[in-house]
Order: sequence, then structure tokens, then C-alpha cells
Amino acid sequence: MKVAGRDPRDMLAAIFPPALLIAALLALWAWLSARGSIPSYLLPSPALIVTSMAANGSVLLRHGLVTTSEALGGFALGAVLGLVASIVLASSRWLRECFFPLALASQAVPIAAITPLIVLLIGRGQPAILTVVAIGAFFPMLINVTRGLRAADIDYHELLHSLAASRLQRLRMIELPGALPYFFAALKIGASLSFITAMVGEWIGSNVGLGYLIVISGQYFKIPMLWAAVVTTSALTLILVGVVTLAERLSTPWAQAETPP
Amino acid sequence: MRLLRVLGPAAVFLAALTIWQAATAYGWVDRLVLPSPISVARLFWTDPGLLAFNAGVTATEAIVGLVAGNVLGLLLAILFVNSPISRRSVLPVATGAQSIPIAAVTPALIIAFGNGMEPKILVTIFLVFFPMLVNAMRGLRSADAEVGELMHNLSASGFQRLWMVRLPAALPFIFTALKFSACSSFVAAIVAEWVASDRGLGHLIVLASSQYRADQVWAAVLICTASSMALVGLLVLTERRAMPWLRLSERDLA
Repeated sequence: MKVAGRDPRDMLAAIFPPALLIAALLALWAWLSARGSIPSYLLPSPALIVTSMAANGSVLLRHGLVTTSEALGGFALGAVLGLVASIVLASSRWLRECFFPLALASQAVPIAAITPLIVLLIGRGQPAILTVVAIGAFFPMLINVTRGLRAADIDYHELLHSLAASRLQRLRMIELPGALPYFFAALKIGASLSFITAMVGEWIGSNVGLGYLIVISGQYFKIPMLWAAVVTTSALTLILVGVVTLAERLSTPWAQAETPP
Repeated sequence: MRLLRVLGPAAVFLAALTIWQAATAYGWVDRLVLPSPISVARLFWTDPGLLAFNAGVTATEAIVGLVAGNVLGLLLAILFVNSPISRRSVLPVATGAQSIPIAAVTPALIIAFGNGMEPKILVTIFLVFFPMLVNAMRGLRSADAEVGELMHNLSASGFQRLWMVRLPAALPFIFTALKFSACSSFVAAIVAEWVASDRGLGHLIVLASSQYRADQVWAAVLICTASSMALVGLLVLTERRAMPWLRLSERDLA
């Protein structure tokens, strides 16, 4: 892909093939369901799922709002704390040497797996889920931004040093802009994880939310409802990732040329 | 400075453990809510059979799913990358599919396949398949075009070009996907077990939580974490072995 969004024909060429594939897959799915090749207790036809979504709009909205508040609240909390912690770590060599290896090791820890521990500590309900989402967003942000803050060209630092710039000015003019691409990389990781983490957390830690709705629909064999909740969660995730990607393009226009397709 | 690099993190880690032990020993937090680290460690000594049995079930699900999903993803990537039209249509869809919460369909899979190992393996396969497909397609395409032309001049076969040019170029991308999936495969298996199962670490977590056996919950989570960390560590070592040409530049970065 070249620089997207300049030539409408380029945009069409980028959008048309995947859209066609999705349409073909949907048609295949509908056809197989109509023939009875896919049992409807496993995967109902797309039309049935859409009907179920329309019929249960208020239920989906109620549970969706809970999950959205957990996912967005935890995402924002984790990202802000990670950002602050990374500025602290980037400023002190001692702290960095002591804490950064532990932060790196945390990348191999499956965050969703600690949900039971948090639920035991805080109790079932939304605060526990929000905490897990926040932890999941915190570490990628801490690691990426700590790297990003130190990625700026040393020449700029020398220039500002010779201009007698203060520490705060160096942070604001060199280090933070240099860390922006790293910041957005972490934000995208956090965005795609936050709804999944919240939903999975609700499986064992909550009596409300889309994750709870999925499990309870499965137990009562309300399969169209289950898939309606899955589609809603996927849509919410895609919207959040889309918003973060858009924000990235708008705020770091200079980085677009280097972004791989 | 090298000493600090090892001792610093170790000291922080030990301090955290000590504070945790003190907090539980002096009764600052309820033992039902947060077990002392010593009581968690003791569980490995007093009841190793329970932990080993459940860990074995989960590890089987995770590793079978990990291998099957990655092989499938890599094979499809090799297939798709050779045709521009399938590449242009598949890559964006596969990228989007990564953000679909695949774990969410677990209840449906359990209804279809029962509460044995199969649905858990399927969830793990789905979860690791898309990252491998996307990364391998990007990697296979990243091969230097000039080397490809050279191979063309030497009248190399398609397989030779794949084996000598494209796969080596794709290796860093493939290892990125492998490291991601090594971390997520155990959690996929455990999370699938939360929904319905009668054995495995996920089952142990749910059962022990309902009985307020916090020490068993901690032990199960610890095993899961240690297993995925060990897998990631193994992959990092393999990565260095498999791509010695990258070792130098990596050292420059660190």
C-alpha cells in the first residue's frame, strides 16, 4: 500500500478485494446454513444472528455498556499509569535497571490468567475486571514508552543542551514527540486486548456484561444470542482499534511514510 | 554496572516477596483472600499429584493447539503469498480477524464438541492461527527483490526460492508470531476450561476459587505463568540459534 487516502482509485484498490472476500465468506456461510451443512446449534445463519441482535437490542445494550465501561476505563487507567511510570523510569538509570527487566518478563505473563487472583483479592464485579484490563494495558505502555523516550536522536539533546533548555523542555520538545510512535504501538496493543480481557474476565468474575451474557446464553442453549454477543464484542473491539489508528494518523503524520502496509 | 543489572531486579523481586509474606504473617490481609507465598510454595510439596495432573491436561491442549495452529497458519501463508489477488484480499481480513475475540466462541464449541479436550485445542488453534498467517505473509514478502531476481537468473525452482530466499527472510516475523502464541496458548486453554471442563488448570482455578482455596488458585496461575514464560524463553534461545546473523544488530540495540 502506498500512502493511503490520496488517490481515490488507490483506496478502492485497497478496500475492494478484502470486502469481496468477506462478502464471499458471508454468502458461503449463509448457503451452508440454509443447506443444513452447518448445524444451527453450532453456528446459526447470519440472518438469524442479525435477527437475534435486533430482537435483543436492549439486553445487548445493557450488558454492552457494562463491558464497554470496564474495557475503556481499564484501558485509560492502565495507559495513563503506564505513561507516568515510563517517564519516571526513563529519567533514572537506577530505577530502570531495577524495574525494566521485571516489566519485560511480565510480557510473558498471560494477563487474563491472573483474573482469578484479582477476583479473590477485590471480589467479584466490575472493579476487579477493570483492574485486570488496566494491568493488561499498563505493561505494554510502560515498556514501549520507556524505549521510545530514549529513542530520540542524541544530536537534538546536544542542541537543546547548548541552548540551555530545561529538563522539562527537553522532555516536551524531544523525548515525548520521539516516543509518540511507541506510544501508539502500545495503545493499539491495549485497545485490541481490552475488550477481550474484560469479556474473559467476566466469565469467572462477574454477573453482568457481554462475557457473562455469552456464557449464560451457552448454558441455556440460546445460540443466536451467544453469537449476537460475540458479534457485538468484535464490533466494539474493531471500533476502538479504528479510533486509535485514526488518532495515530492524525497526530503523527510524519510517521505514515514509514509504516509498513 | 553488569552486577546491578542482575542484582537490581532480583532485589526488587525479593523485597516484594518479603513484604507479601510479612503482610500475610501479621494478618494485614485475610489469608482467604491472599495466601502467603510460603503456603503457595508448600502446596507444590504437599500435593504435587493434583497440580501435575491438571497441568499435564492443560499443557497437552495448549501445545497441540500451538503446533497445529502455527503449522496451518504458515502453510496457508506460503499458499497465499504467491498469488497477489489472494494476498491483497486475505491479508486485511486476517489482520482484522486478529481483533475478533475468538475465545468468545468457546461456549458454542463446547456445546458442539462436549467438554473434553477438543474444544480447548480448537480455541488455541484459532487464537494462534491468525497472528502466524499475518506475520508469515508479511515476512515472506519482505524478501529482497534483487535476491529473488538472482535466483530467477540461476533458474531456481519455486521451491528453491521459497527455501533459500523467502523462508529465511520470513524467520524474524515467524518468531514474532511464535513468541506471541507461546504466551497466549496456555491462557487460551485455561480460559476455555473456565467455561466447562472437569480437569485441567482452568478447572482447578474455578473449583479452588469457589472453595476459597486461594493457595491452589495461586499455584495454578503460577504454573500457567511459568509454563508460558519457559516456552517464550525456549523460543528466544531457538531464535538466536536459528538466526545468528541478527545477533550482532540486536546487541547494538540493547
